[in-house]
Amino acid sequence: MKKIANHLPHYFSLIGLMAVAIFGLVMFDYDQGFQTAIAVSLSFGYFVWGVIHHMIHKDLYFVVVLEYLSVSILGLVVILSLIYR
Amino acid sequence: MQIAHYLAHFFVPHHSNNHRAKLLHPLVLTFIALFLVLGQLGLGLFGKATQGKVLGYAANISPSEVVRLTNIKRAEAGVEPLRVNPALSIGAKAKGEYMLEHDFWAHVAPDGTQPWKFFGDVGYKYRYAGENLARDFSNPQSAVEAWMASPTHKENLLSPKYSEIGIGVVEGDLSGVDTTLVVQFFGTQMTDTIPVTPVAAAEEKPVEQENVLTLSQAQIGQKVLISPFNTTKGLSLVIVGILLGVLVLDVIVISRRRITRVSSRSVAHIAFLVMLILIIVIVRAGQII
Repeated sequence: MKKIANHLPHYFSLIGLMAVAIFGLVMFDYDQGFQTAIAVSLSFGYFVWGVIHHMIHKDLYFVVVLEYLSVSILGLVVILSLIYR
Repeated sequence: MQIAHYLAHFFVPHHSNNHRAKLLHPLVLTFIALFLVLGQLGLGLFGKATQGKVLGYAANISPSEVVRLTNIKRAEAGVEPLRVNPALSIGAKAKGEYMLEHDFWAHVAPDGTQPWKFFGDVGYKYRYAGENLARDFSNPQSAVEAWMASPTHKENLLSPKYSEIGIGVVEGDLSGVDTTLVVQFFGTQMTDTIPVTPVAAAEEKPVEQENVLTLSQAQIGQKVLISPFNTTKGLSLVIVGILLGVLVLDVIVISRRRITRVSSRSVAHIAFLVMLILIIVIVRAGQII
């Protein structure tokens, strides 16, 4: 828990990114193109957030990058499969 | 014993999986994403093979209800209500059937056919004309709400330039999925004298044919089909839910055993997956153009 408290400012920015994405997906649910752009930005943003977060904490390794990349891709696939159904 | 070992290997941080559940390894996550992509392709191919007999969107859309809801929105905006013009409704239905017949979903057909052709086909000589399209909505309320959420569709719906409306609701196979299309035609006839501003984007075409279609006011689409959207939604929820459960277990086990390892932040992934679940729940079926 102490570790999370130390990272709190980082998590605020992450939650902000997610909140903006959810808001955008709801507000622009009539525009598939814009929703796609939001989904791509969100997954890319999450990946970048992960890399920067670990860089700041000096524990960035290749396997960590791969983990963020795979979670981001999975998220993108889930959102796009719903938008285009 | 063997099964318990496999379960632990896949779902719990363990020495056999380098203290990270196998399910959370990048390669496995990539395979899951690939499985979802292949699932979508399979759903599309299955739909085409069954020609919309199995996959589809159950809908209950009455044209008169679409008109009623449209006029409620206009009344709320202080705009005169629209009169139903049977010829416009026939034209709208013809446009819907043309889309199903030629397997496209757009204002302008791939062969270049403009929406205005269908106005002319039913002998509707317009001063102003407009078209809104919707598909895959289960009820008229959600279709009208979606149009109202889009500035361009809302502009059509609330425009004082229009005095008449025609709604066509057609159901059929569109790219292998049984779909309900809603075509909303707006118009003002040449003879109509509504005081308005500049001319809208339509040009008049000569009448080419008499009415050949019949107008159905009946509610359609009562059969039960497998919805591709709900199937995707359900599958996504199950997969993301399992991953979320495994991540929560990961956090608990790692903090209790005080294991130090090189890995990404599980808490961040948990937040990301919770957001994904929210999105899965919030996203609605139905498209408008």
